[in-house]
Amino acid sequence: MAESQKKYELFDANQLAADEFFQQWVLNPSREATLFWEQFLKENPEKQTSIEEARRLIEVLHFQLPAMAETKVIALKKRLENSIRQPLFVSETPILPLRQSFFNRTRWMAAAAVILMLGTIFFWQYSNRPTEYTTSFGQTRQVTLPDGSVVNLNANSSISFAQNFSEQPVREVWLKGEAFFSVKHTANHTKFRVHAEGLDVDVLGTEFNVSDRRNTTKVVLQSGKVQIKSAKQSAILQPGEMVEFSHSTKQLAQRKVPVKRYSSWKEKVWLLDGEAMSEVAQRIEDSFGVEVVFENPSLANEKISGTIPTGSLEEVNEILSDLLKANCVLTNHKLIIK
Amino acid sequence: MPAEQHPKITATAWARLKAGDSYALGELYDAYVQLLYKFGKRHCQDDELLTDAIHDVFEDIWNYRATLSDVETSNIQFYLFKSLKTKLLKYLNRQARHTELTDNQEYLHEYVESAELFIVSQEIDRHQQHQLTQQIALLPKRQQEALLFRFYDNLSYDEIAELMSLTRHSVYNLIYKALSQLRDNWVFDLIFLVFIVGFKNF
Repeated sequence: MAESQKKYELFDANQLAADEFFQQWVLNPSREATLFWEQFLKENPEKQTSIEEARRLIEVLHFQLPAMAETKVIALKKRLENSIRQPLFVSETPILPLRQSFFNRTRWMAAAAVILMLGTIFFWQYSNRPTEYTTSFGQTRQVTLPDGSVVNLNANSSISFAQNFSEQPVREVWLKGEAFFSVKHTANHTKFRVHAEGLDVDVLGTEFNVSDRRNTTKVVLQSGKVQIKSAKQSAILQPGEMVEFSHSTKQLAQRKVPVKRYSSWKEKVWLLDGEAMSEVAQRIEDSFGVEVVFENPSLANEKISGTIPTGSLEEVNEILSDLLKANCVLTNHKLIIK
Repeated sequence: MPAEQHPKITATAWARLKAGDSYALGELYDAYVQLLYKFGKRHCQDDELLTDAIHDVFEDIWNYRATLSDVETSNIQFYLFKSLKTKLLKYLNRQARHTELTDNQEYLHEYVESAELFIVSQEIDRHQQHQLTQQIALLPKRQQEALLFRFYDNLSYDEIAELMSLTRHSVYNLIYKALSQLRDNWVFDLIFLVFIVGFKNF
């Protein structure tokens, strides 16, 4: 919005507070708006008090209104489900063991044999080398798949898929590291499958984050519906839930999480809310390929909250020094926290 | 962050809904049912009637999904509010014919006092929260309504104007008057507090 600075020169605090452009800046500051008001203040320093007062007035207007009781919310959703005669609730089956009867196993083996044969035939026909995208440490990239789905690849990760990906009965990708997927729904409802270490994620159209680092594969669902299958278990994820799969115990665990915290990396920031510094150190190691060394071990337990821009390791280092009030030194391949 | 971050659905979910994915309607419901309730509650105290209206808003979306436009996801809330307002007006009018209530347009606009609105800003202490809540309760109903649309629902002046059947300029005036009055009283309170504290220190 190109507002003119002149317009505001004669405004008092009340007029500023009632101005939509000013309110928008206080409630939801954009970079342009912040530049605008900084510039305005520089040229009209006498307006500082008015701006502060107007700002404060808007900031305290934080309302709470009575909400609908949770039981009523569910009852109304069921009523709606009945009247449109279509399911609204994503099935709430928690983690279920997959039956592994002898019959099942032979069937799987037969299926595997068929797939192997088909695979060989496909290989002969197309001699199709999969397309692969990789990122190095400190780098993220966005990849658009042939079907229009978008994958944000985090640092030190790779994704691969067949060249004739879109024509397959199931759209399959293989992931190492971490990625955020926005999957496009196709007209004929083709499944989309992500293979991560020890886990398959099956989806229709949806948005979710998959990371497999440090012997744990994590899937966090932002919207839509996905099904997770490990060798022995399966789970259906609701938006806002995460499934963790431990590579050592081969067990799935499901819980609710703040999704933003797991996908903010694609906006090049980490949102931290009381994470231990040791966890942040792991992220740094995974994303930038340096080793984090604590000279004062108690700092590893320090809880960190806030937003860390992750454009470069230097930037992360600077903000960490600030947050921890410690001296962080960056050497070749090491980040030393003193 | 002063303004409450309302849940939103993504453009992908909206597209899935249009394509006939009922789970996407479920997501839309989860994201907006409370906002719709809180909006409706300000105008209609009859819970049963309000619930019916909310149900019909979502049912209509499903039945007419093929004709839904590519709404910007930031406009979905406003779209739902408009739809709920139309439904409420219709039902209240129908009810009025039965009970012979007059002037239902007024009834809808009448801001309900028992709406139990609270200021919960973390920036000020409980005492100040309480005072500010009381001051807001003293404002004319239309000013309260406009304040909530702007600072609770995050609607733009143009959207508020459309919902309240006013010009954009009248909406500005309502909010300007409300904020000026709050600020005057509030500044007065602060001076008063400083005085008390100063007095105690003697």
